[in-house]
Amino acid sequence: MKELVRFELYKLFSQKGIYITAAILLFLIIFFHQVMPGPDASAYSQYKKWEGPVTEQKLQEAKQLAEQGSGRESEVYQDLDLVANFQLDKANILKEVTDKLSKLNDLDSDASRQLQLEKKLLSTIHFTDYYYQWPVEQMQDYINTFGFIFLGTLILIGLSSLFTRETASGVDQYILSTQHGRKTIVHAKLVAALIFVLACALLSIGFDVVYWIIRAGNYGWLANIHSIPKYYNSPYTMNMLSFFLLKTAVHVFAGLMLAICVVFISLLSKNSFFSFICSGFVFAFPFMAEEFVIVPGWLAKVFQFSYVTAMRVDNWFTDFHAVTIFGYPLLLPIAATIVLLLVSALFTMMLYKINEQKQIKP
Amino acid sequence: MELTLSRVTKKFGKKTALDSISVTLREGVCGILGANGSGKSTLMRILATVMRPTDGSILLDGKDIFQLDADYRTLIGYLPQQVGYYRNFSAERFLHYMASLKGLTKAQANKKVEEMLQWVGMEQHRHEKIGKYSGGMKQRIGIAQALLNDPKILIVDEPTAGLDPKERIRFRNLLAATATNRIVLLSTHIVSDLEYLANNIMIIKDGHFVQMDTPTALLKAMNGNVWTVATTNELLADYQQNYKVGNIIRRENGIVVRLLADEKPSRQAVKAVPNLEDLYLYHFDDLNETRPISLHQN
Ligand SMILES: Nc1ncnc2c1ncn2[C@@H]1O[C@H](COP(=O)(O)OP(=O)(O)O)[C@@H](O)[C@H]1O
Ligand SMILES: [Mg+2]
Repeated sequence: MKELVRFELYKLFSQKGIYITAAILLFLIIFFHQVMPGPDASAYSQYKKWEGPVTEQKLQEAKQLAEQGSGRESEVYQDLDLVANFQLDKANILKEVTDKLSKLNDLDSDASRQLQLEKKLLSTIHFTDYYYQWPVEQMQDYINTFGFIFLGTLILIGLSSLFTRETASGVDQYILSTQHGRKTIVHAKLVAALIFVLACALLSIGFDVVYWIIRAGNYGWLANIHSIPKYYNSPYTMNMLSFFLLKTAVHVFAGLMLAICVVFISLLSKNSFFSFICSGFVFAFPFMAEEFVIVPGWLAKVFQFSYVTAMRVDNWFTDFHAVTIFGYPLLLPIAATIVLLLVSALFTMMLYKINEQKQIKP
Repeated sequence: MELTLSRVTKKFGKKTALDSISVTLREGVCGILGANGSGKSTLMRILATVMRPTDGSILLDGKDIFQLDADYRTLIGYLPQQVGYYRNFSAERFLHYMASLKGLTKAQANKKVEEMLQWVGMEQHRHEKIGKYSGGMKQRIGIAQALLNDPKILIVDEPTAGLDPKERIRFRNLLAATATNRIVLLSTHIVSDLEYLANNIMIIKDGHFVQMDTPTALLKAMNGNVWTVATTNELLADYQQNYKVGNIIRRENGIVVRLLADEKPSRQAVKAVPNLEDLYLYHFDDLNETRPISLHQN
């Protein structure tokens, strides 16, 4: 088994295409990062003294500086003001939810249960401190802007020929007639595919973190996710370190699930091109549709469970989303994770079943 | 060890490639003789479990081979008609890959790969990429991989097609050297492959089982049906029209034709000792298609 995994890895990593693709994508990513303006690592010194709990005194001081000063001071004031206002906004949202809840006569309904869950989450939110967060904000943003494209493309290029290569080369005739050619080979291929995804994700995220640390410094891990406009309304509360780790974990998890799907399509496909196109469609369709056309509401809901949405992660955490399953409200990130796991389990079972029955097509 | 096929049938859509083949195979070399398209490869693919029969069963000592599953596959070695390979693998790497698929341990694989590379005379080329090999070299790697697990059932599908005569002899000798204590199935449409090599010859035609016997018995049955006739250019066409004609040898003073006939075809005809080519001619000459019993014509 270990030997077989080693050979599968060798075959996977000896594809020149993955290196060319990775190089091109990294080049493009560097290019787009470079053209984006932003402060460098030295900027931190100007923000440092404002970090920590936002007090009335700090707020007044910042306001005065902003009125007489340059853009940077007014930026600091805005950020501090945002933290100060957050408690008010949060109270308003909480009140809204409570109002809605009280208007529902049936406290046992699905809608009511969802609102109760939202209320519970909202009441745990805690955001009182200001931290300079720009570098880490960029790091986490990378995952939903470039990271998912990088990982997704490499998975498509690297794994869509995992089984079709055997058919195309005629080696499947040997493989299927050997002791381990029906079952163990599927273990080996899956393990190799998952290792491949981990390696690609490590390269991608590692590159991103190192790039931003060099360019903008290693600052912002303690900031709250609510300090990023996109997550201002998020019902989840955590610092950027936790969020970055969570986002990376979800991103990699989604990559692994996509890999299983791509491997499955590869087993069903006659040739690598067909396999690549099908996998590409599964991966890119929800993203493309949402980018270029207005999708109906129900479809947008379905897309929240898609591989690409999972790999981008951000949509799961920007707002409160829950689905009701058997009368119980489940938070979208949890529900979608379960769905992806179930789908992957099904694909995995079918992989074994189909390869066990597979006949060659001369 | 006994491999029993009963009513093995394979259909591709409407086309019946194998039609209810029932036969029992035992240790020794069994040559499967048939024209192109007669179903040899289909039969071998089924025996190698890379295809499933549409109907019928195959039992190894009473147990269904598809039920035996991996236990059956550990016993077989298969060389397909079109050898597959990875272009960028060296022979050595490929053999190691096959060894791990066949469940050999690292130590066994090292020993066996070494042994096989030497045995097929490829040790100097072990690090070269298979994509650069000649047909004969690829075929040698193919037989080497088939034998890595010391199979009790060796299935080789037209291994000598596309080889030059020297390579063909070499290959035949390799095969002869491994034939003891296993069931060896060798398909071919080249009869000389089977001379001296096959213990049994099974003839299939258009997916039907025709007969199976030892070469001696098959040839003995043809005794008195093979003739050589000295004739002239003018009369040759006549013979070709009325008989299945094999070799035509041109001599200074005329022509000698070898032909099949139930009775003495002419006064000058001389009885010849039947060989496997006559057997093939008997079953597979194209004339056959239009005149199924031409042997009995006069
Ligand atoms: N995968 C397939 N699909 C359709 N027809 C096939 C397939 N494989 C073989 N055949 C047909 O079955 C018959 C037997 O083929 P084959 O077993 O390859 O013969 P042989 O090896 O004796 O030349 C041929 O007529 C061939 O066209
Ligand atoms: Mg064939």
